[in-house]
Amino acid sequence: MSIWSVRCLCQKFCRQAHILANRRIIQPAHRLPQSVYEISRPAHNSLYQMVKKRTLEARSKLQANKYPNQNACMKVAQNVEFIPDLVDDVASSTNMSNIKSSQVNFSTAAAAMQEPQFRVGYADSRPLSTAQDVLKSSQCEKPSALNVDKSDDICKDPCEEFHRLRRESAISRGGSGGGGDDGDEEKAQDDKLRKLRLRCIICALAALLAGGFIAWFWSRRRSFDDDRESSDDALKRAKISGYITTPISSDKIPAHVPYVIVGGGTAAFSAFRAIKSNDAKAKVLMISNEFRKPYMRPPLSKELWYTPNPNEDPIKDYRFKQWTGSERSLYFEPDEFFVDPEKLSDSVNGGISVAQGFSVKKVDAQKRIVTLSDGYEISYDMCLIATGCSPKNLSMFRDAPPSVQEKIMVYRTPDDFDRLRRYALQKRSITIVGNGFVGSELACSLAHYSKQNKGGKVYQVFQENGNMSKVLPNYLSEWTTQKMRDQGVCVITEASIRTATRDESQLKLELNNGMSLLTDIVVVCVGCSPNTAMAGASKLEVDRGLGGFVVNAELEARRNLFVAGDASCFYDPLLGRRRVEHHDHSVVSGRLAGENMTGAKKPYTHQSMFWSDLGPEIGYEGIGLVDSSLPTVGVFAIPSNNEKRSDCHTEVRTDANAEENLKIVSGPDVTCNSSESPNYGKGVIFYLRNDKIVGILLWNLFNRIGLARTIINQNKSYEDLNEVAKLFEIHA
Amino acid sequence: MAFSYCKVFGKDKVIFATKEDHSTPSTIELPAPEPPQGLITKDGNINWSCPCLGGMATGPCGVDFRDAFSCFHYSEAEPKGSDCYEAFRKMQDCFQQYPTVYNKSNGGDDDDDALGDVMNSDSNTNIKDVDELTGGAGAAAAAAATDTHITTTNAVSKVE
Repeated sequence: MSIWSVRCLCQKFCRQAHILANRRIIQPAHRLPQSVYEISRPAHNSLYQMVKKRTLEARSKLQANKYPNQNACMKVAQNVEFIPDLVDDVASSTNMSNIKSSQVNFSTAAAAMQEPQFRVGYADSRPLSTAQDVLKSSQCEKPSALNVDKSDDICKDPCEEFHRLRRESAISRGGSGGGGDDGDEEKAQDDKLRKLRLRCIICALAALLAGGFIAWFWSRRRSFDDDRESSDDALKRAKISGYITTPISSDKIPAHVPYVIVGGGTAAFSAFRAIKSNDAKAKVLMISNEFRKPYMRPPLSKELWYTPNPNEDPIKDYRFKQWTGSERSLYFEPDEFFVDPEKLSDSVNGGISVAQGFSVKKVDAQKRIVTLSDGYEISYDMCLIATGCSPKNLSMFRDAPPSVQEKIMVYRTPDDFDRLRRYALQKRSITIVGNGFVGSELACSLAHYSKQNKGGKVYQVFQENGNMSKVLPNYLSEWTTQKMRDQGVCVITEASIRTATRDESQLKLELNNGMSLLTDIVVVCVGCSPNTAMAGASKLEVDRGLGGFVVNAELEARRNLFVAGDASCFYDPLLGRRRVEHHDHSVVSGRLAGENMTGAKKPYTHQSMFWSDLGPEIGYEGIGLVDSSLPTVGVFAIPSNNEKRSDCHTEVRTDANAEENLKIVSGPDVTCNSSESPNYGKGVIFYLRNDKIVGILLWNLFNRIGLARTIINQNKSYEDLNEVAKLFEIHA
Repeated sequence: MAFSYCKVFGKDKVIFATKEDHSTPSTIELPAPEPPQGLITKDGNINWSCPCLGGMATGPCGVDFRDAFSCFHYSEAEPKGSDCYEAFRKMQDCFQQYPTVYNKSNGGDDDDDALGDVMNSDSNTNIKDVDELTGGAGAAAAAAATDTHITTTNAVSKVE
């Protein structure tokens, strides 16, 4: 039993205390009864309208001055990040050594780079080019074992020195390869080390005590606050956080409902609207495994991060600012809109009820019975399956020990938003894995948020060589990645995570390109898989390649049983069998299913669209098969001479208005040079299959999706696509 | 200075087009897009699926709203809708039972509530919104909605 084991014990304690402290702040992810989850990206009508009406000009104005075009990975850290936040005990885990090292770095960096503007904004500039540098940079951000107030001050220095010495000695030991004969010196060093260890242990213990006390005090205060809350609020909170289902037990759900919808997301709600429009007194029951009323998801990775909200946590009703400036809630409708499930059978005018927190294990299409996971049976006249999809995780994280797993999350629900926002608020470093819609949008939004919040790094790691590579042709994908870097996202391309290990507070990711990243949280955004768990028991067909329940062009799986949204693998009479994971597709297919459930007998003919925003400079909308594996022809606008000149002029003028004179010099150069490298600012891209246009992407062009839809519906090949592009008025 | 030019990246072609190049009209002719159905169908019935209704027909007062609106639409009284007092009062009573559903337009003007906005506000901008929402046939919808607006306010003032 040496002093080492004492140290280990102590470290264990520290870690436990830290984890406990974190738990208090970061709630565990909510449990969801299996399968049902919903669609992620895409569009609710109002949102769609919102995008439609937007103009690029409106946005570019917004950002012009906000985003200096510098390399994200070059600038990274700002002063603030290195100052322990006294208000928030968790945030304070950034330690003194950081300040020290950053100061050192600062002076060297400042000396090295003569450009004064670097000095203004950024304390530290580290190119991310080499593995060592990344490691170094991450190491100096490594927080001390424990956060917590005063005791830290005593603890920090010795701990840091200790760590440093230990590292050095480890290196020297490794170097000499077991020679170890320098008796006296080693002894002296050992003594020194032991002293340090002792000091460190004392510090850690003190910190532990203090931390424990604060945590205890805090929890006391919290529970006291809770007591004061009205019981209504408490009930509501309990319902949302998944402790109570609505209704309280399944036997309170009516045994027969004319319209049953399995799932409670966008497709489900859209179907309800259509049903109720065509059958005025329809009684509709949604069975959702979430504990919330239906809500839209697109703002979770976009608008919600741009809405300047007070320190509300969670944000009340998840209100966010739309592009028009008006606010709305993430929820489609307020609570009052819905009928209590227990009263649905007796309601004269019908309505919609949501059974929250229940999952369905089986749908019997022949007997028309839905069976809940607890065995309760509900008979129906018409049924819609809209179970959506669940985010995928990487197997290496799924199989990781709990200490690693608690630093890994997926991103799909408001709870995920709340959790990630807490990390962002504490200026933690966040790593996003994946280059798709959710990952890329989130990276941009987080970069923006951290700029507003003055701290917190955002990394995005993926194997491909550019963002949105499944959608954008390679050249545009790479261009987009560069734009994202300009916005402050540190994008690491062509890299995958080899291992993830945990220290006291952070996760260390070893990448296959030799880099290491220290990060506080990993957000896995690698797509989602449709929730078809009930297919087996229900004897429904699942598409082998595309996934999802197989349905015909009327979205019908069996008689009186329909499937819409992400989980629907439908036959598009124009473009063939498809499965689409977009918000607008949920709206469109939900509506079609709802109409057909009330007897419309319509096939899928209205092509759904999608949109995405990657920060203020990039916004795009697409329709049809927008798949980068297809051959494409892109037509982009070259700004005319006059325009360009005037562009430069305005640039100079706006810069002149800015405080710093320095920028004026660089201003015109930056904009005028853009003509040398291709500028994919605005344009239209055609996706071809057998020379026919099957997909159209509108790049920073808005209000033209109707035209694009008309062209896709022609299902024709065109000699000169430039002529087709003219229709889009890309120079307008 | 600028000319249109092409680049090829494997299967992906890129054309950079100047404004001048695109200033001539396109040779492609497309069929006129089918105008989306507005609030009133060709045969004069009410289309309850019209997005311009902003969910009014599907909300908790949807049935009362339909009664009132149908009464108004098919009314032959002079002035139009003057025989719908009862129906509108019933609708208003219902609205008052669901303040969070039907008073949203005070704060945010959800696109969802396009009609609600039209009905509750006097500004013309909202009517324009409705127009955009429904495309070509929206004008009829907007006109109808404006009519409703007048009637509703009449009905409300009568109630009060």
